[in-house]
Amino acid sequence: MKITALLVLKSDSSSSGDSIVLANATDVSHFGYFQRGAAREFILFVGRTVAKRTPPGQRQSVQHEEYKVHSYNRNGLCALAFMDDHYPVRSAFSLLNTVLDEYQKAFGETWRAVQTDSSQPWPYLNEALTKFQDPAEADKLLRIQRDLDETKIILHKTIDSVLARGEKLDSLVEKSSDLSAASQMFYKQAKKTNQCCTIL
Amino acid sequence: MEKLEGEKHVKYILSVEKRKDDFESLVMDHLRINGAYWGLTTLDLLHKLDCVDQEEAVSWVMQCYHEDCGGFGGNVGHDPHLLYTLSAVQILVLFDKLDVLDVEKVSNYVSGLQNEDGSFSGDMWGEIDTRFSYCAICCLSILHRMDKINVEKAVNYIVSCKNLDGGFGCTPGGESHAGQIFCCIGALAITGSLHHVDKDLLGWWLCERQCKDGGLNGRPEKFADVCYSWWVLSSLIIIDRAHWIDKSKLINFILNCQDKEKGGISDRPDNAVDVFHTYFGVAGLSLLEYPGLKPTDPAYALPVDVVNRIFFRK
Amino acid sequence: MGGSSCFHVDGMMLLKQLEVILERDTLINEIGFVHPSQLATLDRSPDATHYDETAFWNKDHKLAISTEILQHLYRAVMQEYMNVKKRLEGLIKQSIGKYSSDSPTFGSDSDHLLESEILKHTMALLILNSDFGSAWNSRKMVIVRKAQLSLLMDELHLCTLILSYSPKSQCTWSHRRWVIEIIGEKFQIMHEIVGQDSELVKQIAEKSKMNYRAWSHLCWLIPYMKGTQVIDELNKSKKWSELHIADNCCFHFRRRLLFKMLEDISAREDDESCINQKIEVYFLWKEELEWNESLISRYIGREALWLHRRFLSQCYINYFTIDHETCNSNGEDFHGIHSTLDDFLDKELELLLHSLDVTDNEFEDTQVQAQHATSYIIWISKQVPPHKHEKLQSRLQEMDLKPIMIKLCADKPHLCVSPLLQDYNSNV
Repeated sequence: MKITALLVLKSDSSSSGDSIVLANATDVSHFGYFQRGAAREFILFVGRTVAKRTPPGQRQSVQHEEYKVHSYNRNGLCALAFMDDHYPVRSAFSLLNTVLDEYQKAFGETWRAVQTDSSQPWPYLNEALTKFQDPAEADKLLRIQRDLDETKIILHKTIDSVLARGEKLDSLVEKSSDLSAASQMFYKQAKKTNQCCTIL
Repeated sequence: MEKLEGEKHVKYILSVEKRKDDFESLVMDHLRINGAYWGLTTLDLLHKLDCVDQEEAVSWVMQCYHEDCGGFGGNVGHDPHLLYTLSAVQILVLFDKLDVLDVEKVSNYVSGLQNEDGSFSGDMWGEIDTRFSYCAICCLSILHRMDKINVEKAVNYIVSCKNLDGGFGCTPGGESHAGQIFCCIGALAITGSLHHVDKDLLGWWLCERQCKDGGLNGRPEKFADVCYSWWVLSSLIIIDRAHWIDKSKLINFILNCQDKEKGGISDRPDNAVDVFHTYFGVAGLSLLEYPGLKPTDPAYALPVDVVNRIFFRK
Repeated sequence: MGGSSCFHVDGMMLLKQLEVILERDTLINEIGFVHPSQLATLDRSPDATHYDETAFWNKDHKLAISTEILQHLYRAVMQEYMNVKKRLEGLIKQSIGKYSSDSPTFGSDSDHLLESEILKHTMALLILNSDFGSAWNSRKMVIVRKAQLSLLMDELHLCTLILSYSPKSQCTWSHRRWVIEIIGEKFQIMHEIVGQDSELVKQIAEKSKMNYRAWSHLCWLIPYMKGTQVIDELNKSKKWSELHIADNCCFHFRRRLLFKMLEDISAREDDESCINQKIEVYFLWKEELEWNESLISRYIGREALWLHRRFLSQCYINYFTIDHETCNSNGEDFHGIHSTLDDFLDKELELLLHSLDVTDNEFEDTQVQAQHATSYIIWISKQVPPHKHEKLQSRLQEMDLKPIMIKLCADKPHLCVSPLLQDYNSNV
């Protein structure tokens, strides 16, 4: 039930620019040594893509292969979690709530003025990434935090369904500046078939 | 509702045979004879076996034969193994060409791999697995040489691999897996030993493999995959419990895994196609009585007319 | 990966370079096939004088190979391998006529040279294509004649390396077992091997989810485990499975361990120490049931958890419960620690009741949870003697659960036929 990444972005769906990364904690240790760079790039790319398409006040869960990307936008400040399929959805969203609370506690409204990706580390996010690997920990948040508001969660079975009509993940991948040639190859290979089942 | 793109699948299979240059095709070379069996059987189910040069195919199969021991390798120059010996025999019987075989020698190779406890090793190096029990039993049955092995012991070994959940694993105590279940049930069906199976219990485990999207998975919590349309469904048919799954949803799932432009079938919708999944998709549809396909025998994994030719011509 | 390139690539030269790298750095622990542009971004290794840096990268015991050269490399190594394979087969035919494992080792220097050629080329080949069975066989041919522990351990290392990026490679797992069997026959270090491979499987399972081959390997090692190791494995896999609640393979591994303990006590004579052990297993079982229940309520709708419960309950009923009505004690008397079958069933019905609460909840799949619970109770009803069915039915009726269960089973023919639901239908 691995959490691979937690991100906080400034997401303004009305502007034409990309979402801006405010904080980023990633654990790619379960990828091969040579794939980690591509995995990091891919997380940024997907994170930006989903954040951009999560309007303020909305919660979304997007399935991508065996991963789920959960996203919650509160007044333009958007928290995202990349986790595998089996991490309980409720725990995931209470974690995102907490991350946003903590972010505002630490930085107030300064994020509104930010114009470029921030590379400044935010230790809380790294600690959260480690601590909440066990959903039982996120369950504890839940007990304090009764006010999971009424916003509906929109579920998407593919990233394509988050995108606007006519947009396709494949073509966004090709155009993206987040993704190097190596990462594009990583993406294409992930789409290759499952040869594991050559049972006979 | 989608439909089966039969003609495109034929084209796809013929094209795979010609493409040998890229790294992906090169690394599949060691099991080319399995690939040939999957491809040729698909063509036959689509009534298109005459698209291939029979002489050429048979002579290539015989180049994979090891005269010294009687087994077949996965390609020319590769070591013999039961997995490849079964494919070779299946291809030859598909072309009605068993007469090119030294049946005595091939069946001695197969029976020589039976162990004291009834299990089978895959080759001289001794790995044991219920898959190899199936290969041996299916092969000897096609060759009419079942008397060469101790059938009772072979059956007892398979039964010893049965789990409390009704399924079977690769060795005693191994986790239930739909592919292994097919091997065990197929072997028990061929040897007339299905009375060892609790059909309701096994059928329960098997029908729980159907996922929300209509496809079948091979183990709990896994995604559906077209190849299990074969492994699970053939087993359900053999134990007479196929009515426990939703067949029309499964048909839709398989049809949605087709590459509608270039032909071929993938494991799941929108993934890359390969011959393996193309075969199991088409064979699955055949078991589901999809129109226009030859019927398939669920235990021998061959077209029914081919199986009838083996047993009723003599 | 790299189409046919228009420039000339010398595959043989690249192969030689690769083999030199593998010979010089015997501690390589990870390999990647990388895009040439990525290769260019990697920190240059100071001693990279023995290979083409646009093709390879080797530093800190990591090896990267450019995807552009894979097919050329593969063709070259195939050619070399097929040559030495023929020579090896010729040699074997010549020396003994027919292979047998207790044949003498080859004598001459040229024979030894051939053996090292085989090991060298098959290593390169298997790194590129781990399911090339014949190449593993050729290695076996060489190794079986030597059976030195160091050689066998090197072989395990090669398997570990390949499994790190091809975690499902069947031939590699099979070769590993073959090596371990030889080690088990000739050396007294199985205890360590079991410990080492248990670590390996968990590492691989972390990267490669629900890996059937990896967990089968660990199950295969169970007969080699001592009593304390079984308990140890049971403890170690507990936290692991808590964090991987969908990984049925790990739960299956736990089932094998638990079942082994049950079998061990069933097979033993009834002396004092055995009774203590039985009590221990009984409590272990109860603990596993409780643990499983807590996971079921935390992780809604998880098939693997419910399947684990089926197994636990089935064995519990068979080994640890008494049925007062027939005075039928399943298993032997455990000095008063038996629970009654009725008590057990009551508890399971409570779990059913909780799990059937299909409130509209956007976070969780309560519908799926309810289906698993229904299926579970019907499963349990098949494990108990027929005279219990009536009792179960009347309890379900009292609790008013039948209508919802029937609804949940509507599209599941295998459940609809259960007598547990049938009778009710005919009553209304």
